[in-house]
Amino acid sequence: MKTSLPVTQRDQHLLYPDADQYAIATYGLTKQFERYIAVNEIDLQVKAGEVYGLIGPNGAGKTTLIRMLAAAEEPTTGAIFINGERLLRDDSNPKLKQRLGYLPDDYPLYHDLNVWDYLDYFARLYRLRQPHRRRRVYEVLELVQLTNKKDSLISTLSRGMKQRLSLARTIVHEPILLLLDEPVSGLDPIARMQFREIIKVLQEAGMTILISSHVLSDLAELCTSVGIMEMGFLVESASLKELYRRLARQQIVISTLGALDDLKTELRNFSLAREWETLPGQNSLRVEFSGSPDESAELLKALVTAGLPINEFHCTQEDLESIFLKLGHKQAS
Amino acid sequence: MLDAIIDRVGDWNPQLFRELKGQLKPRGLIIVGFISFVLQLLLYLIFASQVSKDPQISSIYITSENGVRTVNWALWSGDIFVTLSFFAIFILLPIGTYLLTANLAKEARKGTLNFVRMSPQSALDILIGKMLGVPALLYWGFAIAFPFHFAFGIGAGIPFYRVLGFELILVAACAFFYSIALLVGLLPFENNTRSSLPWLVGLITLIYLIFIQGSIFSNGSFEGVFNILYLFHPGFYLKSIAANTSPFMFSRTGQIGWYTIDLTTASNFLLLFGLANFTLWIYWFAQALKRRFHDVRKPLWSKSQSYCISASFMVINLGFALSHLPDYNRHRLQLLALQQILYFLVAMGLIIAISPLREQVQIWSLHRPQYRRGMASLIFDEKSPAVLAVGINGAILYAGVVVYAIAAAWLPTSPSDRNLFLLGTTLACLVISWILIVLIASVYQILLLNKSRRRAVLAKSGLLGMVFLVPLAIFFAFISSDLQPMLAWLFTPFALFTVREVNLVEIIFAFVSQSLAIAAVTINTHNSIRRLGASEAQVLLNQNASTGLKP
Repeated sequence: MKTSLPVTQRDQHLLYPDADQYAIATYGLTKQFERYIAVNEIDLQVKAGEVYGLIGPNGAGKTTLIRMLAAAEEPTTGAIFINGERLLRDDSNPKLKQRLGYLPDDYPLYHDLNVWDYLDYFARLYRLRQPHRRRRVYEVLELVQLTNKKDSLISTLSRGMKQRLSLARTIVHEPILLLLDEPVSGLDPIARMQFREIIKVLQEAGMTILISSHVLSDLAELCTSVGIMEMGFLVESASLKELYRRLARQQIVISTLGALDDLKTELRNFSLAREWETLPGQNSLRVEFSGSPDESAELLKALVTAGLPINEFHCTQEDLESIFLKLGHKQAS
Repeated sequence: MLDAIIDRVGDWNPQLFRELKGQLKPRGLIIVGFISFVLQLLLYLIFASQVSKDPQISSIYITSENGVRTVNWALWSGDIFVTLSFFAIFILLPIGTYLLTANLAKEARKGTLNFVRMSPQSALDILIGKMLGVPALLYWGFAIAFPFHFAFGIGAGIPFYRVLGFELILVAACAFFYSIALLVGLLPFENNTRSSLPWLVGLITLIYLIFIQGSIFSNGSFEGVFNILYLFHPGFYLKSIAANTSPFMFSRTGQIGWYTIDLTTASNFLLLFGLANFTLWIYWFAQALKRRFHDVRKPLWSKSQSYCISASFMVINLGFALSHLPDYNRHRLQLLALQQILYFLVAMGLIIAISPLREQVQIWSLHRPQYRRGMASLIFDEKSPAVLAVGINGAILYAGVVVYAIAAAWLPTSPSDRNLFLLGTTLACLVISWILIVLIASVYQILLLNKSRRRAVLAKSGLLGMVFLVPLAIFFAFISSDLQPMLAWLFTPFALFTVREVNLVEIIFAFVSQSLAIAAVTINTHNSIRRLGASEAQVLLNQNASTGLKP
């Protein structure tokens, strides 16, 4: 087990040879509170430019992991590397801290400041100089759509606005790695959508983003890779494509104007249609289909040839939530 | 214009920018400026009434010779200067410490300080920004009074550089007390305790200032024993520079020496010495702040730092002690014992400051091979148990008492009066007292290793109990008895008070029994640490086995 004791650069290269290949690389990262291990020997690798979604039930250790990556929490053991540089929780690496942006789930703010002064303060903390500082504060205000609130006291903002202001604070210093912990929790659907759009813009700007959320549909839309945590362990870490390829089943929704029993009888002739379920309130079946697109076309042709009045036939894929539940985890959506 | 100034200041220190933006609002500035101005005006009018041209009025500033009234303007200015200085001391320090502790407590409660911690700014930059910015309105009020204060100092005939020196002492005292306030604000208290903390810090500062000021007014000396406490009170320096110009304020002058220097007459040296002393302690508190800012669970100082702190304290305090050399009569022996009590209390403070918490010892125990080997780890590694380090600190501190005792036995007495037996008994009692320090450190450490969630409170209660409750129990148990149990007193911090009455058998008994107690506690500590390491490994294994998720 590697500890957070200081090591020389040469030792570091020997111990963690591939650390510089990733935007985030952790080695045996562990956090123990009393007799409870919140994060247990996690080896996480996230490539530059990825949007990495972290999912898992409450208490799985997601927040603790993100806090350690943001240097807000001291690991009990293990090492963290950000773009190949060792992250330590002291004054020793100001340049590395300059590259990190962290948005916690509770986003505390200074209510005695106005929006502009708040962002200006953080821009100064991150050593942005004029005139770049003023330009950058304007840019992030525009991005989070708070330009018209720049002179308002923070205490007068709505929850959604405060959340967006926190995101603006997180990115004002142009970090290359964003750590977002439950960024949309408690937001209404419109605020959530606005937030998602901002994340997409940041992703296009080339930021590496690690985001934890219980809203799996959002993660499915935003992420390139996903990690699943449970009881402190990282039990799954793969690209979203890989996850779908391995675990998502193809489904075909078939609706008929005739009797469903006739459709079921015909489906029994196809071995690739393994099982089906009736969709409640509709004259439709959801069919588990393991064939290729050509074979699904064959199925449609056969059903029509058999004289069944088919009025809907479309292929779908299991969503992230279904995959997650299938893996035996209980994820709140 | 205000915004432009704050903007420029903010380029130098962003934290100062944030604090000034929050504190300096035009309305607040006008109100504080008005209060400051009115107070100065009132003070001036009160003093002006003392030198009225009305022949009916007499005062200490007016002398009348052959019907001609002469006003002693230097004396009058000196008293205004001193009064204003007291305003500065008694407002700036307690209110400033209150404001800073309250500010950090609020940040800790809301969790906002975490973002600042994550920024690339250094801990000291942030805390200097807080120190300069949080009491900004207070500074503003005194900045308005500064020309008034300075002018009356010069008017009193005090040389320019001494007035300036005193202003610097005031600044240094603020930095010193505010560093402590920040450190207290960073301590990991529960939220309900935090709300009362600022009041407590302000009150303790005020009590210290009043108590020491009373001593400065009355005689100005604790017979050399607690003189080090004067060094942190700006009133001590004020007395030095204004005793001649304000003889009615500082009527009686006691002599305070440091090694061979008489500090009461060497004003210039005292100002420099005071500034150096403040700088030294501000430096040590800055080190603690740097450590605690990023991790509130870290010991205040590393073990190596604690040795330097003990040595600093010992060297400074020994200077005061040696300037009041006692010989071995009964009264002087009590002074020697009081010296030892002072060092003992410092050692107790260091036990609390450097003892690592359970989780740190756990890490040290689990990864033992990655730390220094053998004794070196116990002496230097900060996650290792602090018992040996406290023993070394105790030895450094008690070296001061040993030097003092030997000097007291030798220097002021004729060869025929030298009492080697008494000196020997003193040194033996000192060794027993040192063993008690190590014993308390061992018990404190083992209580910190306890499983209970309240172990930090438990450990501090244990320490306070051993230091204060045991002597109190002995005192009350034998309060009506003529026979004081000398042996029992050897097990308390007051061992040196028994020097004349205690016999050799009792000393040996105390020595052996305390050594055995340390041996027993050490074995217990050793086993606890081994169990800690083993239990962590067990937790890991159990968790892995129960989930079956990862080997």
